Amino acid sequence: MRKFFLLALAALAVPAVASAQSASGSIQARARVLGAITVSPVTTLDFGDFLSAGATKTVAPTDATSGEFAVAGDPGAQLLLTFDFPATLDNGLNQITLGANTWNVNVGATRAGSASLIANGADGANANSFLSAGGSLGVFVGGEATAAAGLPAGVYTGTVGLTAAYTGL
Amino acid sequence: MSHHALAALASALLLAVAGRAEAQGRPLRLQGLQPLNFGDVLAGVPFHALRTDPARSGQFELRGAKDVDLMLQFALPDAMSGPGGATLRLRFDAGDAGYSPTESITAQQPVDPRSPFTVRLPTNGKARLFLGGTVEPTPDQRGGDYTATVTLTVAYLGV
Repeated sequence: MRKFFLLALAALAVPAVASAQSASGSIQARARVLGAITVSPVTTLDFGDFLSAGATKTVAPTDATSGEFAVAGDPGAQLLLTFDFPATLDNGLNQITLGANTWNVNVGATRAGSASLIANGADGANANSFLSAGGSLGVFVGGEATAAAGLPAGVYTGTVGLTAAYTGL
Repeated sequence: MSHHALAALASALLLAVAGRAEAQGRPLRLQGLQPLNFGDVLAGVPFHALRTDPARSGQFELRGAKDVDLMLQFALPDAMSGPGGATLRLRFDAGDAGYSPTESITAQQPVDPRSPFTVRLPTNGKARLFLGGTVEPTPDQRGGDYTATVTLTVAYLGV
């Protein structure tokens, strides 16, 4: 009799098991944070000495005197590089003219090994390029400067600006 | 009552109960179909992945008995883990989950993923859950890949 009573109790316990029926599943949440971009000036774009009035001097991106920026960010990410090129080099009110559409930019790990990114660009020129697997990119800038006759001797300067932003790729 | 009669009664009880459990439905199944994928985000810029975004929303498929009420509950992480032990803050708001008895991402009933909620399975016993959320990277957030696990649990109601 006791055995059957236990059986009956066991039977009554089944609904509790059924009511506990449940299931679970999981998914991943994922995100990739792109590291902050840094743009650092490395070398000055130097047109050197103008020894004669009316002279024009050109610096190629692969020349030792080209300007260099070091860009760093998320490895392999694509960047939009936008340039702010000056129209003149100034010394007080005196100016050396920079060619409006003579800016050339190369990118790469080294000057010698760099490849053309912008050819004969103007102020505001932009182009996409990729950071290396190590998250770095060298940007080399060359241009053309003309010193008019009658300029006083001295040092003439200007500023080349570079803005880098992720494109999302 | 004879021993045979008692045995028959006990067996009848067992069969009756087993029959009732069967009627309550086939086993519940819950399967993660798609991760909640925020993609590339920028340090210092919060990003909200919509539950209606086909590519980014997290998705679960739910199968069970037809026309039954279910209780569901998410286990939501408040951060994702990244490189070198870095964490990325993760937030869920009231409208970040959706239930679709038609399994369509464009026909969701919004639910609050932060609290248990009930739904009714449709006549075909299949439905889908969608999940969105917000990541909040700090301005100095370390770059790299971040992950976390979101778990959804479901149980029959009233069995």
